[in-house]
Amino acid sequence: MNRKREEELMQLAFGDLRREENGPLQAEISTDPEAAKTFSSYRDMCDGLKALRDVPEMQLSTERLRDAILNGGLQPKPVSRWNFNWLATPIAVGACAFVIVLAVRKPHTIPMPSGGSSVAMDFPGKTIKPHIPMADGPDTLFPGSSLSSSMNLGRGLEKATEPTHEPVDTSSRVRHHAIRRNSNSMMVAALTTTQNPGLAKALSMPTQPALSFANEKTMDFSRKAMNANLANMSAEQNSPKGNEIVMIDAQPDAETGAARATEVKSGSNVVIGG
Amino acid sequence: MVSAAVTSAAISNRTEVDSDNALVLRARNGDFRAFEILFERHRQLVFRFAYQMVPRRDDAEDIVQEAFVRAYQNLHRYRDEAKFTTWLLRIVSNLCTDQARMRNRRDALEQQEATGALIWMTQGEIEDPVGDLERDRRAAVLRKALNALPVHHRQVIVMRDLEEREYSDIAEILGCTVGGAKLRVLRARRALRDRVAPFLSE
Repeated sequence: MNRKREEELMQLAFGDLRREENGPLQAEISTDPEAAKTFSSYRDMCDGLKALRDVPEMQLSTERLRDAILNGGLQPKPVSRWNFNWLATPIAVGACAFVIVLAVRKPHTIPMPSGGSSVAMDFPGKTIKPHIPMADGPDTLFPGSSLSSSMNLGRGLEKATEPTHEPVDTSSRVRHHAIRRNSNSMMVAALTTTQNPGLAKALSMPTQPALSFANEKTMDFSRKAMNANLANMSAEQNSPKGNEIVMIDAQPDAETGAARATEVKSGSNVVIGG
Repeated sequence: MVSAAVTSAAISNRTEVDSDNALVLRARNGDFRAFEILFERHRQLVFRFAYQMVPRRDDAEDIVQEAFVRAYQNLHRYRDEAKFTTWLLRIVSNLCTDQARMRNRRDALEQQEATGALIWMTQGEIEDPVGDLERDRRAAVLRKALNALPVHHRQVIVMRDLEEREYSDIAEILGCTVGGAKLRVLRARRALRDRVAPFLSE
């Protein structure tokens, strides 16, 4: 007897077949002794298993279960309404990519106008992008770490106001950091986060020589596009009008020893180097 | 009328299912009384299955207790689309499998034989003692053969032929397809028949 036929006889004995499938098998049982023997053995087994269905009464009480659960300090685990487990992997990948991007970014450059001027002008149709090393060095006002932090302050940078087309003497090289300032306190707070509390303190005090110098040197900028670096920093920011940029001179003031700050109306054409 | 009866039964079953789900929800929120109701409602079902798998009352009760403790701890994993009893039996099935692998089956069989012999001598209908003896002998042979089966065969025999569960339920408990469940039952029955056929044919 083949295996398939045996399985069909087994299903017939246990009542797993449909009524219309029983007929051919019943006929085979009546004519084939081997089929009859197979069917009989399965039938006896089915009847015997039915007799095993009776079980004794359980004596496990609710109190015993309560003791096992409550006295054991067990609690049902809370059901999380929001399951964000699936976000873990893409967030981790994004974080790693972000770190890699930050690590391989080229440093930006800032023009160094003459006389401590804090701006580099963009002539109509001409873009000036002087290189000003902003990395750690003897003349650097800010260490590299604070530079990156201050660069991150680009979150607060706003779109440039309308600059005018006026030239600026860019022959002198003065290292500056351009920081968009909405308020002096914000800048101080931001600078504090750059791990340069001394500078933050200095900037919180008005420096008269620096301001007067800035008044001389502050100029309007043209409407033309800013330096690409500054544009990147402020690209995502809204730009309420009237916000000034404070250019921090790398060279401290000779008289007071404080950092020299220069205010400019707009960040257009300001090149930031690092 | 049959269709109305079927519909009524379906509604009743659905109400039962909804009630279990409502109790699970309350138990998740810390209402232990709701879980006690679930225990009282389904403990006999769980015990029957556990007893068929490990035919000693105290072992079966231990399994029942452990199953409900695990169910309580993992209520957050229960999904409403499945029946609570199916989910519970899956826990019991896993526990029985674990126990069967750990214990010494030969000692359990010897204990079972002694217990079975005692029952054989003290119980049975008076009117047909020979028939009783034969019936009990067959039952003892089957019980012995069933206990000797590998646990994966034994559990499907218990679920289908002793507890009369549908193939869909068995598939859900075992985590397989309905066809897979039918195939497992087929193989288990064949394995059991190979063990008992020489004894039952006497």
